[in-house]
Amino acid sequence: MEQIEHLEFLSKLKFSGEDREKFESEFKDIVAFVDEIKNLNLSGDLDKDEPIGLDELREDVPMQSMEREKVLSNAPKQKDGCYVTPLVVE
Amino acid sequence: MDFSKFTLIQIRDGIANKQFKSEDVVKFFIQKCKDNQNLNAMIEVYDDVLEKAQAVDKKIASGQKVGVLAGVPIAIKDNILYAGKKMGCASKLMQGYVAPYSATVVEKLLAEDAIIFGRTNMDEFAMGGSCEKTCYGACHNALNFEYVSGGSSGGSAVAVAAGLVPCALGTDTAGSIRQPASFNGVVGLKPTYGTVSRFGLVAFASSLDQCCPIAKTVEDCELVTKVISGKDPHDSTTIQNDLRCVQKSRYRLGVCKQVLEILKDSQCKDEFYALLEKLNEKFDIVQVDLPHMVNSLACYYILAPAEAASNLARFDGVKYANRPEGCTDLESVYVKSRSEGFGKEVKRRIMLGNFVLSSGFYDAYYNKAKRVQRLIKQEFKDAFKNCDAIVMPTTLGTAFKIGAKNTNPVEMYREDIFTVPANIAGLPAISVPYAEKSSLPLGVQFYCDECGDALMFEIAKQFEGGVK
Repeated sequence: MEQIEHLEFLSKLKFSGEDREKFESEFKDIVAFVDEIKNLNLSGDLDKDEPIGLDELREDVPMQSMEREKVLSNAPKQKDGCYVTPLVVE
Repeated sequence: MDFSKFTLIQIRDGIANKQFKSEDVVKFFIQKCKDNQNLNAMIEVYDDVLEKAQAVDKKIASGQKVGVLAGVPIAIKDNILYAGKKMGCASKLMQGYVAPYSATVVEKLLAEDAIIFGRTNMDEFAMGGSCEKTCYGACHNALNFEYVSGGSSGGSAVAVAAGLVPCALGTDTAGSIRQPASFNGVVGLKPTYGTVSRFGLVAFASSLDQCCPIAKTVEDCELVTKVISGKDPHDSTTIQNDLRCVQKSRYRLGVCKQVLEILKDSQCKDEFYALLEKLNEKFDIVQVDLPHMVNSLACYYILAPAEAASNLARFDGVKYANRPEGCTDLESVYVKSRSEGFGKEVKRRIMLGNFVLSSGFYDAYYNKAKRVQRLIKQEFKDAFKNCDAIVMPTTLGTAFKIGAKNTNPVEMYREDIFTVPANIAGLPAISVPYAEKSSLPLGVQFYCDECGDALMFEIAKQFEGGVK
């Protein structure tokens, strides 16, 4: 199923073998279940988008953030205060 | 003294009145946890609890002022951060993670001198309704070992019901506190959205998640909710909910006709009708109409996965916990870490979330679900013009056997049918035990209007005191 491959790409996940077959069949059932919303007839004012209110933001005052050491403390690999990953730029 | 029979408030008062020490209480619960390890409810009892208890005892002995939870042990779900302690979200991916700071709820408990006792089992990343989808192994029901604890806060509910701790925090995104509370015969609630800070909880669906206690009585839950609630500069969605209400001599309860319709084929139909008869003596009963409440479940399975897909993007094998060997480039770090680290249910929901948000489907699913959510909110608002609370069962039946619903995800999703509307509409709802069927408990919920949390506690206390 092409769509599953696309979703794997978006989700940064990879299914293989038996897991993949099982996932595909369960996923179909789940999508059929949420199709209830797609197929619902709505009318009136509610059939419009409503932005989220952001009128209660705090003052833009600088605050202390977490120390670098703490931020990095749970990284699987770190060096010289940075995260370590495989080479990104040639 | 058998402290497992005590309520949180009885323990608190006993310590404050010097009838016994916090150290005695904590020692008792440590032993109780050791004796009941087979339930798989507690993942860890923190190694400093005795020390912390002795410190509170010293404070009391020297006459210093102490907090309203002084010396009381409270457990936390494995998705709540406590600085310097392990936190694993019941996920293989997060094992080894140590919290660099504490959640606001933990800070607030500590400020009242509570003893943060340990962490409890849960479904991985709080996704599940049975506490079977956990890297620690299934949690067992406190009343029957063969049955599920419910979930996702199964460990918290079982820990309280089995007397391993007088109170435990859980999180509730679709019923994850109320359903396991119901399955184990204890009290659990979710407050109005925003009442309790989410800072330091591992986010699942941010617009629906709330953290709250599970305890033996409504009064215990009310006390702990008051302690952990309040506006938090670290969480812009928090509100000031004053948790006070105007008392009336007689309250009006709404019964939703759509709920009765769903109940027709359910296991707890007779028990619920018998309950309504009894409620009639103490409360006025009216019928309310919530035509789209039944769509809450499908709505939830669009909105929550959409948010989860975003929230769980941070688990990339770079910033936290585990990265498998053999990653050759950045893409493989992401894909291998996530594919090997996440369990099946978590993967399913991330994929579903990306599906409903993806180009070509967004309007038909996500956007439409947001509109249905507004409709459901409006219907509840209208219903509360005519009643103080809406009463409905917490679940369709009692706890089910371990493994019984593992083959069909959609069947497991249907477990949330009576709990999820509270999350979708942002309303407070509390589950209180009311009957038993085949020696397993059933819970009833009281829903109240937005910020009607105090009224909800009041009605639940009246129910607990006189109708059960």
